[in-house]
Amino acid sequence: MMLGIQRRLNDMGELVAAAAASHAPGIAGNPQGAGEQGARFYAGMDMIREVFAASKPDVIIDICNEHFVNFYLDNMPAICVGVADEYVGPIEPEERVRIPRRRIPGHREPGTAIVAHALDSSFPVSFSEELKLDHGAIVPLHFITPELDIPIVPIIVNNIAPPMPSPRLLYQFGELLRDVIRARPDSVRIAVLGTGGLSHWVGTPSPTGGPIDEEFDQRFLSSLEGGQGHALADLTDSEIGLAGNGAHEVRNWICVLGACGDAPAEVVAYEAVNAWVTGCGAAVWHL
Amino acid sequence: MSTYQAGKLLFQMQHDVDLRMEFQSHPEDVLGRYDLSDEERRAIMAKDVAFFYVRGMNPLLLIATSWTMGVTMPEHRSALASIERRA
Repeated sequence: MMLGIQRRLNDMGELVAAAAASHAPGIAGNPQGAGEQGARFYAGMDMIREVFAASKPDVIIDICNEHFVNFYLDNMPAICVGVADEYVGPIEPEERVRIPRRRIPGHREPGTAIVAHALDSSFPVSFSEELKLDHGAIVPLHFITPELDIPIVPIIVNNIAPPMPSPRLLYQFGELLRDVIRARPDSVRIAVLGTGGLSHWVGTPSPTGGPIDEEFDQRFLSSLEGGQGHALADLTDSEIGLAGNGAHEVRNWICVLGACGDAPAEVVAYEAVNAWVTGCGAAVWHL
Repeated sequence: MSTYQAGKLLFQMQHDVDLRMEFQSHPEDVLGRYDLSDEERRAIMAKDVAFFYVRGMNPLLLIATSWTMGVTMPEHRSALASIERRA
């Protein structure tokens, strides 16, 4: 997709790392409940942390989703980009996620650049200086950058209230993120992180009798590993919805796919964790 | 009837501690400011999660905000399970 961003001869911005991981509150809040499955999942998150540490990002674009924390149905943005110098999170009670609430540095300028280019390219984005961050933004970040000291640009996607932005739109938005990063005139090092999914049902009895659809999850992860991520942009609402109303969060992963192109991912963890009520995956791209 | 107004009340109580405290002390005053049906007013006062679920309130909204009615998470799950048993 041509996004109309003029590449410069002195392209200096760099996408230095990319990853995606589930963000179920229990991952941080209920480590005992998952037993050996949890240990294997945490080992995968350790691998992502090492990749991010080695890549030394100056900024992390944190693609997560709304949970009726910031927006109600009177004004639900499809994609909202944080453009603040600082955020606060996680906003949940500490006993739920066991991550102390704290101030997290933001980086205003990349956020505003993303919004400007996205609007130039007809993407339906809004922006906010007052995004509240919940487990969706914070849980994977907590494992990847435990000090939460690298400035972030949170991007909140509507994956909860139909009509939602399509996987195709999120893939294309990921392509735009990549182009915005590469077109930067400075030497800022940027990482992207997508959070959420995989299969799970939230606040509703599962019609299949269980919260997790391992077959859906494995198909999804196989596409990532096989460098066929672009095909996931063709997923439909109904195909994703069969894996749970929470499975729509895979849009956040698909956005990362757009940024990474067809580079194969390394799936560093997958566990169907009933205690966390979620098919929990984690993947990293070696860029 | 849409559950939009009831959901809006629950969403706003989630974020506004003053509204939540007013609801606890003078619930009828708060409910009177929203365009709610008699059934919705009854359901809120009765902490009837199942009513709103069956009426189509977004389940992610409902589970995020039912605590503002005084519903605990086990009570929420139990209410959903009772719907499943009746189905």
